[in-house]
Amino acid sequence: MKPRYTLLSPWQKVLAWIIVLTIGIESAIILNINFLQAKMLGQWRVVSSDITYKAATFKTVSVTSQEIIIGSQTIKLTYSARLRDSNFLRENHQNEVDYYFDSKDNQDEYYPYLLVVPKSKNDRMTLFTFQPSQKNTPSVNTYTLRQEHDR
Amino acid sequence: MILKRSPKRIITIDYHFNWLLLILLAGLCALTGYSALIEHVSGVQLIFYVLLTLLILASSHQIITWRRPFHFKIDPFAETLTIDLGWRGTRELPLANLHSVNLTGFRMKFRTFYQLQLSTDPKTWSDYHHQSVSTRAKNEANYIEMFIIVTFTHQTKNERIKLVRTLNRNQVPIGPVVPAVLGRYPGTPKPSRRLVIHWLRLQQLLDYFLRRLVLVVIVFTSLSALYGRFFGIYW
Repeated sequence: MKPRYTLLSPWQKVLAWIIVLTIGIESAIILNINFLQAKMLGQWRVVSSDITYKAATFKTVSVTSQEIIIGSQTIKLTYSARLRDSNFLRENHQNEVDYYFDSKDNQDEYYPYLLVVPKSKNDRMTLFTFQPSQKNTPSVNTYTLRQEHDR
Repeated sequence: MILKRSPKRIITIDYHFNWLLLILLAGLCALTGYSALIEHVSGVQLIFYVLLTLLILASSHQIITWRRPFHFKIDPFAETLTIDLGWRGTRELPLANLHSVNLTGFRMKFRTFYQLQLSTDPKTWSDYHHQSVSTRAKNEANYIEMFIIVTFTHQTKNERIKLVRTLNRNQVPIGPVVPAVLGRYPGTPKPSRRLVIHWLRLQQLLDYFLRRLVLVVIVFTSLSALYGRFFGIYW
């Protein structure tokens, strides 16, 4: 068999490889955004809370790639390439990343949970829970979370 | 490599007709017609059926031409190779103009396609492809040798061996396999033609780039999706 690339110099091949790898990394980043942040995973402790409606109290929040456990509530995560098939929504902002979660028994159209992950801090997170069946003016409970490091 | 001479006789290789493809095509035509008549089929679906039918029609001309005296005929008395291209008609190539021959197979869409690669001069190539006068002059000015590619599917192994062996017995040596660049088989340019060489180099660079890009994007994206699914993403 004759060689396929008889006219190419090594430098042209290296240049082509550099462009290929750049586009490959860019596409890997752009196409895979519908996942949790790496620093979200782990055990979280409630540091302070701002409660506006009555809800079951909890002290810890556990985040794994399969599920999120908030007190007695367990939210199973479903992943899909199509956004409407997964039960959470990621929104990228300048200083923070917002994750909206849908629980299994939620009948309303809005997401009942919101996790705000700041980009600058690694061990802080804010959890917002919305009171069900009050669409127009939902009451919000705010919980500030701090990561529990294994000791 | 040229094999020993044997007694001269005309050798033909039969045209094989594929019933399965005809049935498939008839079924697709019926499906297209039916979906055009009933109301609840979407336009996208209809376009898909039409395109599928046209693609099968274009890719295998052997479905339409089913009663043919031969597919390949090698005549050692007239020293010609005649190829029946189905609805595109027949082509006659003088054996003296063929520099080398090679037969390769490649798998695509669950079928094996065979390629007869014939290395010839630009004049024979232009005759084969019915080129216009200007293209003919351009080819003859730019290239030393060009490659005629004949693709077929239905010949048996014995017939394929017979085809190459008979060509070989009639003074056509076996040459190297010519790889495709951007799906085409460019000829060997004359060393003095800088612009042609430059253009071919650009095509090779694009081919090199695209082949690696597809692979790298698939591998990187799936690996990063797998990692992000279990360990989270960092962006």
